[in-house]
Amino acid sequence: MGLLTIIRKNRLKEKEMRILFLGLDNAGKTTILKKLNGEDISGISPTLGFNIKTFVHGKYTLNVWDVGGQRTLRPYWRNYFEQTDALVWVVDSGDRMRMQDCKEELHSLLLEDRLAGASLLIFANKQDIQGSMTCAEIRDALDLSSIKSHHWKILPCSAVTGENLIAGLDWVVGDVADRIYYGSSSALPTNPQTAEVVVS
Amino acid sequence: MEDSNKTRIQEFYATFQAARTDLSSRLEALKAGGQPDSDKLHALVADAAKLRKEFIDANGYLPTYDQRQYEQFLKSVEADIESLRVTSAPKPKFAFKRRPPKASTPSTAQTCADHAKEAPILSAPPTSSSSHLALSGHSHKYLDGGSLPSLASSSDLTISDLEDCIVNLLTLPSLSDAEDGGQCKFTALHARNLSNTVLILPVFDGSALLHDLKRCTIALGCHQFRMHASHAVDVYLSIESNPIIEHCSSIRFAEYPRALSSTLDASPSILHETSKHLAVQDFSHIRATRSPNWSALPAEALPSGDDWGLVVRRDTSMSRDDMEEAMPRLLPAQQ
Ligand SMILES: Nc1nc2c(ncn2[C@@H]2O[C@H](COP(=O)(O)OP(=O)(O)OP(=O)(O)O)[C@@H](O)[C@H]2O)c(=O)[nH]1
Ligand SMILES: [Mg+2]
Repeated sequence: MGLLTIIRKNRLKEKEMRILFLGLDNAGKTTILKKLNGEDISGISPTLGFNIKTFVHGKYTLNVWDVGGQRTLRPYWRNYFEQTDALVWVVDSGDRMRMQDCKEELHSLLLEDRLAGASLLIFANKQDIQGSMTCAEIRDALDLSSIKSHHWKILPCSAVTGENLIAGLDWVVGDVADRIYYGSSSALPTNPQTAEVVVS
Repeated sequence: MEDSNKTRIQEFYATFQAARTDLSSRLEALKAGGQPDSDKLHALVADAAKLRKEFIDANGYLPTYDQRQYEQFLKSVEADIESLRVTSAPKPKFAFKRRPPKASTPSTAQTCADHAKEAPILSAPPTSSSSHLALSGHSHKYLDGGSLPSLASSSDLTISDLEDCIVNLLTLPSLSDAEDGGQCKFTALHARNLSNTVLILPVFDGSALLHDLKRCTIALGCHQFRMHASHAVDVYLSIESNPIIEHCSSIRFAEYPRALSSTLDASPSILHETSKHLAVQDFSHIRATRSPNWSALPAEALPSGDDWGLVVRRDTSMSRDDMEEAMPRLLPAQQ
């Protein structure tokens, strides 16, 4: 039995999920994860390479990969696609100047075979800063309504205040669990709150 | 060229083999030891990440076959580490409470769609797009706090499309809703397309993101600093994380001038001794060798307190003549 087979077996037994955090540099990926983990969020340097964090969320173990988003690092994102259950796309809501860039990077990720089927959460981060674009503005700027290939949802959040961070992970875990642990055919939204979910 | 590649391939092979032996034995030790020691695990994660980085950098010259071998080993190490982290997870620092989705919890009510639907009814105060601090589209001008709107709370500051300007935001407009004359604050800076411009900012709590600067001088204190696609910029910085440059050249770094910090009242934690303004990481040059794209500003090139004083110790605007006197003393030399 190969190493990978063993890992897959473990994965099923322990109800693991693999979650990939991506987004442009300065979006707040690392800060969000540190905040979720109860760590100090000052003094974080931009990520050169990646970090892995493991959270226990109810009966699931989440392996979260946080990969640096500086332009020179983006070609390496693809090294982390394998076996991704959910993609969390983090947006700096104050970064009007790069919304176009942000949209293009996101939409090109959605074409990746190895991410097909992954749930997609968009975090409209830094809502604590006045003058940030609202969640609805970001939904339009990123043309989210054209996404038919993935279940998706957008949530306004702040890594500084913690607003909606746990709610976001709740959605991710619920959506992935519906799909991989309870059969995918029944993944239709059962709850009117998830009106943003698009089923392909 | 051929030869130098061959040497690099051999060198990388040697480095990789050494790292491989080291990582494997540490992994085995951790696996054998029951509950993995979290410090050792962290060190292992860091070293595996470093090896991955080196491998990525070497990809340009490695033959495909070698790449595949290295990739396989790295993948298996990363997977092993992942499963070790899972076994070390039973006592996490943080665990989520199970939260059954209730229709009444505010968290589930805060999706965009709900905002859109509820906004007209609740008339919740929208974060209007115009309510942030912005300076844009000026040339040959002196701009200070008076050029900005007065806002109620901390905001994003956007500065774009300036040419031959001096911007002095050491003093920001006073708060629109404060009786005590408190100042507006900004907690994020986004700047783009500035040339021949001197930008003097206070020390603030947030990140700075700058693109497309040409022959500029910028002084600021912030949590994070990222500069992209810029050329010939002198940066005077107080910072607690590693400053980042990418696609930049001829960038020089120095500490935040004392002539400026002494004028700031109630400035949040100015770091002089411990500032990391020289711990620059050039993401366009991730190698062991020194980046050719930045340097420390030599002491003899530093402006004096009087030079800065031409801009900051004044209560009136600057005339064209004042500006022409100050600019050459603060900007990097014309090339
Ligand atoms: N005010 C505010 N600042 C935030 C928030 N989230 C992140 N920041 C700041 O934004 C900057 C960037 O945060 P990081 O977490 O390093 O961003 P990142 O996405 O990991 O960036 P890369 O590692 O370069 O890809 C830091 O200075 C954070 O303090 C937020 O919700 N509100
Ligand atoms: Mg990061």
